Order: sequence, then C-alpha cells, then structure tokens
Amino acid sequence: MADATLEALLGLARDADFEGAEREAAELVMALWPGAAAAIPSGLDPEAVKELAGQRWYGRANRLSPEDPLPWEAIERVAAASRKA
Amino acid sequence: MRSPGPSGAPSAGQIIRQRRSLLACDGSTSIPAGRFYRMLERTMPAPWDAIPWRPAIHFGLFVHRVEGIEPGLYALARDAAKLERLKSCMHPRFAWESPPGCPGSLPLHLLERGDARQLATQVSCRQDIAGEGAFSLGMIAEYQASLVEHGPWFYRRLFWEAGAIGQVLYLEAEAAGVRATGIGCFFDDPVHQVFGLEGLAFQSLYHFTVGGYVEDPRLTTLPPYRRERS
Repeated sequence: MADATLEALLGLARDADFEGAEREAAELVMALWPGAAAAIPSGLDPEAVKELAGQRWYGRANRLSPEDPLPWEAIERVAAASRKA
Repeated sequence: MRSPGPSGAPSAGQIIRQRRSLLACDGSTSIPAGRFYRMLERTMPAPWDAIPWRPAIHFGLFVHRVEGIEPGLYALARDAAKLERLKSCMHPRFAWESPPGCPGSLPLHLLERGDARQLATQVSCRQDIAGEGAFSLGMIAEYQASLVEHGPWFYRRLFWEAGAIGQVLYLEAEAAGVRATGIGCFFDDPVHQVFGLEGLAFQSLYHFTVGGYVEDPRLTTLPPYRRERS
C-alpha cells in the first residue's frame, strides 16, 4: 500500500490539523479476519480511500513535547527517501 | 492459551504476558547449547507467514556464555542459499566450522574462537548488556541488493524483518528463563569491520542481546485494565 493511501486513511496528510504539533508517520494498517488469508484481497481500493478522506474530520493533533518539537533532519530525510509510492 | 505447554512448560500465553526487556545482564548466567540452537532455529523464516519476502537478514553473533560451544564470533545465514555469499564477503581467515551438536538444518557457523565480550561491548556504544549476557548479535541485512530489487521503500521493510526477529528472541529468551533486549545504539562501521564486511552489500540494522538478567526493583507491574474491570 502506498504511504499516501495510508496517510489519507488516517488523516495524517491534513497539514492544518498538525500545526504546531509533531507530524505522525504510519507504518502499516492491519486487517484481522477468521479463516483463510487468501480469501481477502490485501489491497485497498484507492477510490474508496479518497472518498473516506473527503469526509468531515474532527479533532486536531496535540503536541507531544512541551517545547517546540525538535527537528530530526536525518530521520526526515530517510523517511522521505523511503516512501512507498 | 490457558493450557500448559508440553511437559509442564509454561504456555505461550503465559510467556507472552510475562516477557520483559532486560535492563542489565548479570555477567554470569549461561544457557545450554541446545537452548541456544533452539532459539536460533525459531528465528529461521521457514515456519513464518508474517514476512512474505525471502529472508534478507542474517546474524553476526558474539557468543559469550553458551555451555558446550566455544566463545567467539559466529554467523547464522537465515537463508541457507546465502551462505556462500556471506562467506565470500566476510574475512577470509574465518573458520566456518559447524559447532558441536548444531542441528543440520541450522546454518550456524563458528567464525573465530575467542573472548568477544569486550568487542561486543565496544561496538554497542560501550553498553555492558552486549558483553555480559549469554550472547549478542547484529542483524546484518542484504542491503544494496534488497534496495535495488524492490526500491528504496524496502529500507523500512528490512526493519520490519529485524523487528519480527527481535520479538521471537524476546519470547524464546523468556521461555528459556533468561531475557533479551534490543540494542538500538551500535557503531555500524566497526561492526562491519569485525566481520570483514565492506561496501553496501551488507549493513547491520539492529542489535540484540540475550542473557541472565538483573531485576530492577524500581519497576512495578500493575494489573491491566483495572479501571474497566472495577
């Protein structure tokens, strides 16, 4: 799954909701179901995700650090370089 | 989950609930070679279905206190087909001997005999936990080939594989009556020098230690979900 799909699904791409707060990066989504794994497709329909992302969102990210978030430039560079399209 | 394991061993559920990271090693506890081999066998990818790709992580081990085998540097090829490639990339002086009693299905080899305690400590940012346990190890990834084959995003997947291995080691250590912890701080270039690895073919991504633990009396455990249950 593309990182952009995951971010849309979780609202992580909503810049305004993260103003002044640390950004979040999602690693994965998990699906649990009974029975054989092969019976369920392991992808998500991008159109369905787009529709979901367009719904009304509530809440804002809260800042984890009492001070201004520290920049971790090396980690941000690696995160950007290792994004999955 | 509630039924006891075979021959009175604790159940998987009990081990999963009681497992903790070790914070300090006692510098004396050893484990039998059979246990050591079993732990490593459980990290082999064959019975797993959680990691769908071909294993890309191998171990460079610092063995200190395993009864029945000599202390020193060892290597485990988690994909036996990669053994020759590992051999050709590591120091030519290494012995590549199968340790006594090692199951034929486990591609574990002694590279060099000797006291590796100080070496393990040094390459782990001078943390005693790397030298005072039964053994510690570096998870050495097939780096460049994985990134070229799959793309840069596979960098994160290599850490998934390392993490899954770590979780197995936590549980196997707990089941063996010892404990484990991940070592996030290590000097990767010196680690590569220890094993003779050059360039980008292999890259140590994560380290781990397993051994007898010292309890930290400052830590307490509270029953979970207390509020919900009252």
